[in-house]
Amino acid sequence: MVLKTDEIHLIRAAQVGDLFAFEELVRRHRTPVYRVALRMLGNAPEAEDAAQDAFFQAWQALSGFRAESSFSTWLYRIVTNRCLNLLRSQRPAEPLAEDYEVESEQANNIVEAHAKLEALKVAVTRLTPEQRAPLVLRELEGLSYEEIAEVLDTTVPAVKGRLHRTRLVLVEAMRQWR
Amino acid sequence: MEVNERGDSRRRLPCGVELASLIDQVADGTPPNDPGHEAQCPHCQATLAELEQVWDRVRELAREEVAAPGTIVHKAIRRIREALAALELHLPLDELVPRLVEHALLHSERGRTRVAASVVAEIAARAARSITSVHAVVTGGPLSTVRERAPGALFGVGVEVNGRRVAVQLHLVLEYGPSIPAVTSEVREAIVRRVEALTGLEIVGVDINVDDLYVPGE
Repeated sequence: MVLKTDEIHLIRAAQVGDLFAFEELVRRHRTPVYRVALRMLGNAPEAEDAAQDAFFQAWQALSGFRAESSFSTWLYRIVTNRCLNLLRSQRPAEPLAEDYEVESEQANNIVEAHAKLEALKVAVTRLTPEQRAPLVLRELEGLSYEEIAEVLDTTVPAVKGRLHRTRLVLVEAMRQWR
Repeated sequence: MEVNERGDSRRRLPCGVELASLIDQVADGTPPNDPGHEAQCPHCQATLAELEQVWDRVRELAREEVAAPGTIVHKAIRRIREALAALELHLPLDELVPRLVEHALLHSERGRTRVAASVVAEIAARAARSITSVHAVVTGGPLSTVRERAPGALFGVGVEVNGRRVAVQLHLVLEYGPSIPAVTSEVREAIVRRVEALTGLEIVGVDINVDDLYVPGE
């Protein structure tokens, strides 16, 4: 039996125009959607805007949602694309490592244990958008390679290849903060 | 860490093992390619220890609590409502004007209270939604489908007011199975009870359009 509080029920109800049902879906999914935006964009105000935009877009596209994909993967896809578009429009991605030595001066001033976590956050936001997306989805959100391929509209081997390289870049970046 | 060239994903340790394979081992928990070599190789061991340190940070970041601001929900829903309202603005005037001016009026000794029709609509929709066999209250429709809807269904919940007397019309999608007259009468009672309790207005009629039936699993 499908309960009124089941996700599938809420999705179907929202698809025929029940805004209350959609509101409940937003409530349930706001944390992962916001978290991805936060990790991708690196700051809270932008992340909040991006999360809102993503839900608005989700509402507009809802009639096209098919149950073969999971709703949360579908939302990941919308918010990730939203962030990628934002990042691409902001500035051309600068490759990591050029001005790193200067920046690490600042890091020395931050308290040690905290610094490493902050350093990692900085390192993540210094990855190119294309590197950042699979890393955030895999290491921070814990998605499977298959799910990431769906979110990024690519293949599993392509995801693995990108992650391979991204992890190397990240390890390299973190070396400088030791 | 013993890495020679930068920017090359096929970097190798002096012992010949690819750095990337050690990283995947730490990050994904994949088994080593050559467990025998790895256990004895000082290069591999040193690199693995260093990678574990880095990945501890990554795992720590993954565990970090992130609280999404509650405003995301309200702002997203408000934007949707605004977008739906903007669609309504393109309606013919004779349909639009009554919607813009409608308020129910409550007189009391110490002043008048005006309750917007949209407030009554919201209460009625929530009341209808609380009934088990109501699958959905059509309150707007995703923007992509709203234009295709029959004109009457566009607004979902309609409210007509005359002083403190109010009539409600709404569009529902019901679950397949239970008797439609039984469900709609339950909906009417819930709406009358809830609107009267919350606003003090008098409901003179609840018109219900059953737009569709929902069959679970289809």
